[in-house]
Amino acid sequence: MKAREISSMFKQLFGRSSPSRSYTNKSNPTAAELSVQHLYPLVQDNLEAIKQALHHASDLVIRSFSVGPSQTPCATASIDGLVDTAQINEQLLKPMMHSFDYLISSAEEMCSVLEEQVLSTYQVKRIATLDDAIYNILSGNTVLFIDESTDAIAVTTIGWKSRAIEEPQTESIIRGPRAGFTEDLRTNTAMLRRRLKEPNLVLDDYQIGRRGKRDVVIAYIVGIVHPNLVKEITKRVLSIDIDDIEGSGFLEHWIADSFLSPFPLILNTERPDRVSGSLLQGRVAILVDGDPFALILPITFSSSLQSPEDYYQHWMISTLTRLLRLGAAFIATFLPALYIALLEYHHGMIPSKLAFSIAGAREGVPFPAVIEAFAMEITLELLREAGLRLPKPIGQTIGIVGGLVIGEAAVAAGMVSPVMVIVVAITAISSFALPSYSFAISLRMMRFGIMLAAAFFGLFGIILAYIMINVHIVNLMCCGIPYSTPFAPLLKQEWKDLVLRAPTIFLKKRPKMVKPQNTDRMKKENDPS
Amino acid sequence: MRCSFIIRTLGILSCLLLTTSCWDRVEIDQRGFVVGVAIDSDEQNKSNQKGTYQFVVPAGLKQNSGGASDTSQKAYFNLSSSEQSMSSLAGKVANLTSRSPYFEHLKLVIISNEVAQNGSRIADILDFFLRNNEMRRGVQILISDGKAADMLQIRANNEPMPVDYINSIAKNNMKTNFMLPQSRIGDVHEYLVKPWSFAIQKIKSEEGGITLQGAAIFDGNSKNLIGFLSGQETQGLNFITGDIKGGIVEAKIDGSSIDYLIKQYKRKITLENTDPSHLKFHIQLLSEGTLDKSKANLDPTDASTSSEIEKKFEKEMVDAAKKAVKKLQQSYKKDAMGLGAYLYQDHYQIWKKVQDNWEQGQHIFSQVEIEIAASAILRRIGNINEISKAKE
Amino acid sequence: MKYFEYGDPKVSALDICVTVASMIIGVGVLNLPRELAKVTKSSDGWISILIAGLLAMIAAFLLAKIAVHFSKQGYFAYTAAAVTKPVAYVITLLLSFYFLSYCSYEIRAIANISKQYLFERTPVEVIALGFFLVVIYAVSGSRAGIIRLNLLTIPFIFGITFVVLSFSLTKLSVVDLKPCFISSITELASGVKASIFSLLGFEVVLLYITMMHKPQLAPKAAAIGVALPIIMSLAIYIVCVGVFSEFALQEVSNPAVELAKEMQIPGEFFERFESIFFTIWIVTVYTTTIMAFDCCIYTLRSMFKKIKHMPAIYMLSPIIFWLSMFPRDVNSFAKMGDYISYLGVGIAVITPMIIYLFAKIRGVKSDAL
Repeated sequence: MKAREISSMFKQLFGRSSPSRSYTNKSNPTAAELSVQHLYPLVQDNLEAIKQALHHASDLVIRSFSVGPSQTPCATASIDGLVDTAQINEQLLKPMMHSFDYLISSAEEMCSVLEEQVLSTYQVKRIATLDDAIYNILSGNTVLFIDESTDAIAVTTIGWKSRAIEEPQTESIIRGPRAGFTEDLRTNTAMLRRRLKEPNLVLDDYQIGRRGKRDVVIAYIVGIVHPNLVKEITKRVLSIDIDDIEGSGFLEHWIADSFLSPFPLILNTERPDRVSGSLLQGRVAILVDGDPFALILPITFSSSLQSPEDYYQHWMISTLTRLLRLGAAFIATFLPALYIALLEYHHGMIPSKLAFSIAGAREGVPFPAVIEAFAMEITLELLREAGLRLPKPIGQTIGIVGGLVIGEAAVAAGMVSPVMVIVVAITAISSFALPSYSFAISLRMMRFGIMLAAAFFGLFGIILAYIMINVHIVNLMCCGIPYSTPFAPLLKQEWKDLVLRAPTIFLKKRPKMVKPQNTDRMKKENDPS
Repeated sequence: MRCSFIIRTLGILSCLLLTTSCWDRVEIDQRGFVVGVAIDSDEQNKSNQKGTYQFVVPAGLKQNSGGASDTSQKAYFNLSSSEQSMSSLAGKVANLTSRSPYFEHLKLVIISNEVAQNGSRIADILDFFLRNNEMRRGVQILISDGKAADMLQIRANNEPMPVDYINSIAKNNMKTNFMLPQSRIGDVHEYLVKPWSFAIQKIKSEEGGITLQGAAIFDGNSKNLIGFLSGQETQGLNFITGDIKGGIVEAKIDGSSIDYLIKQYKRKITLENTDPSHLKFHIQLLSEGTLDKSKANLDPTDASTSSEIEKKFEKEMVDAAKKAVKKLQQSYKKDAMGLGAYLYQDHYQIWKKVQDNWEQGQHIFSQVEIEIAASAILRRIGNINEISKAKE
Repeated sequence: MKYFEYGDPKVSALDICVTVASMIIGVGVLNLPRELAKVTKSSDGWISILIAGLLAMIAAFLLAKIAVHFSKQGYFAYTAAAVTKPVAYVITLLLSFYFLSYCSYEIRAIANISKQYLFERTPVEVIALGFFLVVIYAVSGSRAGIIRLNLLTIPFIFGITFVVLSFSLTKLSVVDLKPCFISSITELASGVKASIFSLLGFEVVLLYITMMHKPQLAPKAAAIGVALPIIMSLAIYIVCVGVFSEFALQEVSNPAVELAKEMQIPGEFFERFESIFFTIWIVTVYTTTIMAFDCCIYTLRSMFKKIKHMPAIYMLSPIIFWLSMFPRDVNSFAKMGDYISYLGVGIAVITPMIIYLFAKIRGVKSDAL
């Protein structure tokens, strides 16, 4: 796959350097208009400008008042719903309106007095441009305008409602932490910090998107991660130039190495323990505001088979479970194709008794095995999609209806053979046994392709399809690391944590594939400290 | 851009021509599975052979496994036809049946003794089965004493088809040593290529059923059937070739019989005299087993009694082996026992001197001296010691 | 900006070892027992295999040692400096032609055997075309990707061979292996010739050494890479003789596949194992074909630097396909194989050594440290 050339072509067509950051223009800003728009000296003018820029929004709340003995006109602007009104009342308005008795001579002194002595909120910032003011208002801060002042003060009063921390739905495990990320970026970064009290954990904050201005945080641990990796990823993230990245999925597919490959090149997860584990291995995590799914890169093929639960259970169980997952991946991809190949081309391979009984069972079935297989697989895909949209109470019933009744009825009517139903059921169960949903859906897609190959050439077709998939994986790169690491190139040390999960005592070093700068995880044995 | 786009699209669309493929796609219920073939010689036309094919009816199998012994649908049917060679025979049978014959599950080939006695017929027949890719080298061969087609019509007790029945009898050499071990077509191919005589399992119909006792002896040079061995002689042959996996040796003490069940068996051949004109072989039959049947008033735990019993068994073994040797050396003058092979493997120089005259010409094989000794060790005597202590 | 390159595109010694092993294991190993049984007596073929293997290992070691001298400049540049440029053109063109015909030979061989064991009515051309299209797909990727592919597929080959050999041991009769040491020297010599032809393939180390991280490890890696197919051929040969006996072995066309046909899994769970065995064997023939094609393109491009990767593939593909369909029957196909092997020994094994001598005499700059 010439992923590199395609990606570079893509970036040449669409990539720009930095996103624009002007709010005061309705159309695309030109370079000249990116010049800074300063605040007006009069409060009324500022308020007017803000109302204009926000198109007289109905949730924009303006509170004008006078402060102090000199009766300086001031005003606050904030968006209702984004701010914590109690905090504004108590910490902002009350000290300014009730107990302000400083004598102020200049606006500059007013600002500094307010900042240093009056406003008892935990974060204040001085802003000087209208763009900054609008940005802060839309971010949930309250902007305090002071008459005759060149600066305004932005006070952090964030108080919007967000979802409580719940167990992640797509990645539930038996044993281990049950906290999952939410849509709020600050909560997510806080959860990350809670897990890693590491001073070297760096969280770089960027605003991405032309109109959306979404906060994106790139997290990594200095001293472990390779510096070139961080540079590269940051470059890719900053090259995004579109209205809004609606979720981390959007970001993921923009910065991935190849958009033509069905395999997931970036891991997405809702679990903070997975993110912290990956950061300690020398990978980079990206958190996007408004989406509970964090991105981890670079990853390889082996990450699709691992689940964080493997580290919480005993190593023998983990090893066997990983082997089971490998088997499940194989079954989910190849079983229907094998069924077609064996029943259409290679009847000699089935043991005699089974062959005769299958032949007997298929006597009344009108469709050839190929059509049967495709029809059943497509029915199963329909059931799966339908099951996603149904509300919970009906969902269970439909599962039973679809699975049992339709299958039974089809067999009883003589339209499909019972063996086909078994094959389809086992395939479906195997694809659910994989821990990574994106990987499972890519296998789903490939399954149909391989079924087609088996329908044309039998076992020969299956092996050709297998080779093609191998070739594709082998040519795939993820941020400079071949996707098939550690299978090829063979890194012997990584195999301790690939299929076999060695006991923790033996996992002394960080995986070399991401080239960390510091590879020791544990104290060396004869280290006296 | 336009031009290459069109060319590329045309190129991809032309790959759709491949969809006319699936040349080999055949539904599994369109196959006529042939599980057994029986070959007889044609009475009218001596150069033809008559083949009987046993086809499986899968729906009949389903009904049989349902439990009720409903004979309204049998699990098999036989078709026969007559042609000059095996491949044209298979082609002709395809004209007679609804589903084309499919040999990938072939289990059994039965050749009648008339066919096997003639010229290189058996090699011709087996050529078809080995060269064609559909058959495996694990297909069993049996030589029938009588018409082969009758064997495919026997009443199969406990099995859905006669072929299954015969097949599973042929694997029973763990319980009996009156029959040869399974003769697979791969082994027969080896025999046909090697220069020595060989033996193949034999099948014969008896009252109400069939038996696989005995052996069919083939000449190593002309590859023709030259005769049969009886059950006892086959036991002796098995002793000498070392193919015993079980079975009973019966001896008599004071009028009643005692039986020895062989558990482990080995045979050793040594060449005593290396002069090519006076070869002398010493064959050692070493067996271990348990006492299967004893008689009253006999205490096997007593040392002298048990050694007496062992000696009786040894004598029986030697007698059986001697019978086989006599038949092969005197009546047939052919070495189906593996002595020639032993010479080839262990004493290659001597073999080079005698190989032209071993079974033909001077018939050196019929003149060699064969000394047989046996050793029967009674490892266990069973659950009980003495059955009764009656005083006569 | 292309893509981010902080990963390592260089190849390690283990990769070269596996590459050489994977290139050697092709259709030759399937037929080798029969070829040996035809010329040697009893089970003495193992002596021929060992001698041939030793010769091949020495040759691979020497070739790799020579290759270390041009691990940065490439084979063509070195040759052009050692002997004059026109001669270098001829030599490299011959080498390219050798790899081209090797690729065609493998394609035709696999199509023949597939037609016999897997298909009934599908035409040989269609099978070969399907196979060839996937080969083209792989060759149009990166060279490092091809090396990684070898690494991914080698465990399957050894695994399935091990399974087939283990399950065949029940049918092995040790007495069929006797008598020992009865063949004459001339017979052993023709056995060595047959074995050498099936052990050709280590010359790819000449062309892949430019990708190595530490070229000085190449000789040892190449020698070990040749040792693996030797062990495998030896094991297959001995088991074949034991199972079929030398008399029947001469008559069986593809002994290794027939072994898989004969083997019985306890419980009779799977009956005709040769389909699985052969299907997995296709993977190793596939890697051999890819490497042959890739080497051909590499040598051509090292001579004519202006040709790009994809146009070279488009130009060569019809030639290879036409060449693979050229032999009409079994005999001419076998002759084609013989000619290619002679060409290989001449151009790929002996010629580099001669060039090395010339280079030493002329004092060409070498890349070895």
